[in-house]
Amino acid sequence: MSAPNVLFVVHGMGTNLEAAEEPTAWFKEVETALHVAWERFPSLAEESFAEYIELCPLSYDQRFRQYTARVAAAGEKLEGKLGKARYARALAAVGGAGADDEENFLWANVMDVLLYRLGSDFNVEVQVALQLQLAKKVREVWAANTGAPVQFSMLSHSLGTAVAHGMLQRLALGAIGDSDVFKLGGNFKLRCYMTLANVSRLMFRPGGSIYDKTLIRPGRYVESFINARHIADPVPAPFKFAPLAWGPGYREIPIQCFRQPNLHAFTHYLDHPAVAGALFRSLVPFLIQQAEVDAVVATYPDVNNPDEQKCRSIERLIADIAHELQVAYNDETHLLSDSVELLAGVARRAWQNRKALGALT
Amino acid sequence: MKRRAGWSLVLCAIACLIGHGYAQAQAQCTPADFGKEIIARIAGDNCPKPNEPELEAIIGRIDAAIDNAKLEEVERSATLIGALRELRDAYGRRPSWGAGLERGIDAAILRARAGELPLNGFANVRAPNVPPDPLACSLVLGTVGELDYACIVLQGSPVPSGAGARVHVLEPYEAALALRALSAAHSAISKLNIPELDKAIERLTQAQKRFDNLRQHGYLQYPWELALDTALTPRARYDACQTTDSFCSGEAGLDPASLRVIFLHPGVGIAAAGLGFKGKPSWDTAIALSLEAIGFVSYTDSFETYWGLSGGAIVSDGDFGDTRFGLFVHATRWLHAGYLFSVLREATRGDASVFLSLDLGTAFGASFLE
Repeated sequence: MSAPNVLFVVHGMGTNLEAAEEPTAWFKEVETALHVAWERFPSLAEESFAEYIELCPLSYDQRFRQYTARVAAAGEKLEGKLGKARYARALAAVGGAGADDEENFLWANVMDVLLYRLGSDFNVEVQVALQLQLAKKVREVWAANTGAPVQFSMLSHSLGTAVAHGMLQRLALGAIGDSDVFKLGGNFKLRCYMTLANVSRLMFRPGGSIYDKTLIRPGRYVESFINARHIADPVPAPFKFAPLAWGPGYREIPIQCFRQPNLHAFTHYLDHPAVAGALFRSLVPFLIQQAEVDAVVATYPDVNNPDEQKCRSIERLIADIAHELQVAYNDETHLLSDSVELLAGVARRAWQNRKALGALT
Repeated sequence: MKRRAGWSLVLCAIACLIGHGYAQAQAQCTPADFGKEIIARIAGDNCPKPNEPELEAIIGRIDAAIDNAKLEEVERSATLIGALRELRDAYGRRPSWGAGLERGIDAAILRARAGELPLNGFANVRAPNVPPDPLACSLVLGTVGELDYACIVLQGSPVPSGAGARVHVLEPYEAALALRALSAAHSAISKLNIPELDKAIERLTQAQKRFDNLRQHGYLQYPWELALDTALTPRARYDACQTTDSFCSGEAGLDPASLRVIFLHPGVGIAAAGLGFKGKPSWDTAIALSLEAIGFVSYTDSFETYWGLSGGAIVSDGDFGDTRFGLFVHATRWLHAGYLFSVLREATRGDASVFLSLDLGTAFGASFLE
């Protein structure tokens, strides 16, 4: 018998492909983090994770890498033909030489976001890729003689929150070809949708409020919606996702812990028991009570460095960064979601904060 | 703890399998254990399985209909709906929980009769959740506030207030039986959706293939060209979606845009000079750098090939003093040609070059060039 829950996992920005085959490196890390988190709760530790939850990675990274590899090839072709003249080198760089180099931070990270947001129909392309992967998994589950209903949920991170939101919205809204199978009101919906460092509002394309327009909210295409945000993570800070009137099906989890300098990392979010606990509570509520989650959270210090002075420094820095983000992004009237400057500013802050936190440890 | 739980499960299973019957099963499995097991394992593999030949026979017919590849879609649907009706008649009579099952199956059959796929009826058979379902049900059928809603609670657990007549308090054996029947119905209804799901998969596969063709064989667009496309096309491309919501939904906008912009597009090829109304024709060629200022490319349905036009300039052999201006043509996906005039240099003004860039690597794959 298969597990009663299928949890789709959607990655964020950056190079998430291993050179070879599936499963991808990013997914292995997330899988490990979820298993570690599961073991942290005594009631869950008695049970087998795989018996209750099947993880299904949804990956769109190859769509970006396919493109950057081709841009790189074009740039290198220019370089090869034109030699080392200064103009030739400049043109080759503009043309994308080195675009597939994982060390090239701009191409490997920021470009994913820019391509998704401003790259013509790249958003459609990645959404189609995810929809297809999701549809194939749903088919596999429905076709199997499971003998029991299987429920679908989704966990997404960073850019993946916008990608997942966009593709779910498309599924919920309209027919795919002649098929209404995924349309709202049909036989498919998500039991739980969890977002970590949600950038759906930042990437939201049309006018108006995402909170009013989206179908990906409690009571519609999802039963419950959980959103976790680190207070010092600059990525979800501008156009913060924080609906006020979504009722009890929506839950927000702010965290302020420090376990690694990259506060934005997928696994850093999952390490916090409040985050993982909320997910497990939603998927297997009969196995774990809220009181147990609260008890484990109470034993999880925000900073666990043995040097008390360092602890205090880190806590202070995190508080300072959080304050700075609040000052910079709380007033949304002067922010433009289309602004490349805004996206570059967020990337710069993330990089600087990571260095500053790294220096303290 | 694990080992103890494992032993109790084994005892449960043995007790029931050797036919100690319902009373014995009740003695072995407390309601709490039973409930946890039912909910956790959903079909309850390890605790007493309802041993009801009638139910097993119906489930057998459902499975056979699903597995019989020879059945046409219509016949399969009819067989499944027939089996669902049997399930309803057989188990709808049960006073303790039949009403919930009956409503769900009726809703599904009504939809099927109306020519719709029997959606929804059991879409929400599930273990209970924290909000939005506020009731402490062991199992939930349908959606709170709707006709097909039923809340099943195990005997011994507190009965939630507020659900009125929709609460069914069941003994463990009945709960297991209800779950088995509900699961069979849910499974059948899910499977009725597979042909629809296949249509969606087919359409998405086609869309992905088009994107693959565009990215692998199409005329490469640099990031700034994509950005210009974004600036130029959103209204035309996304207006269709505005009628329902601000996102493109479903079919609308599922494929790549077939008309795409060329803008400040650098390239490299060979140029032969002396082919204008002045100058000496020559087959001597030189490496030339091209820059297409503005233009467009139009794709076929499959995105395997395209044609396009653009205006721009070339520089041969790094001679920027004799930059030549003209038109480029893109015919099929591998032939890119241009005809460009010399205008900047007095001595060659009126002469023209033919520019050629044969993108053989794109056309035949990288191995062709190697």
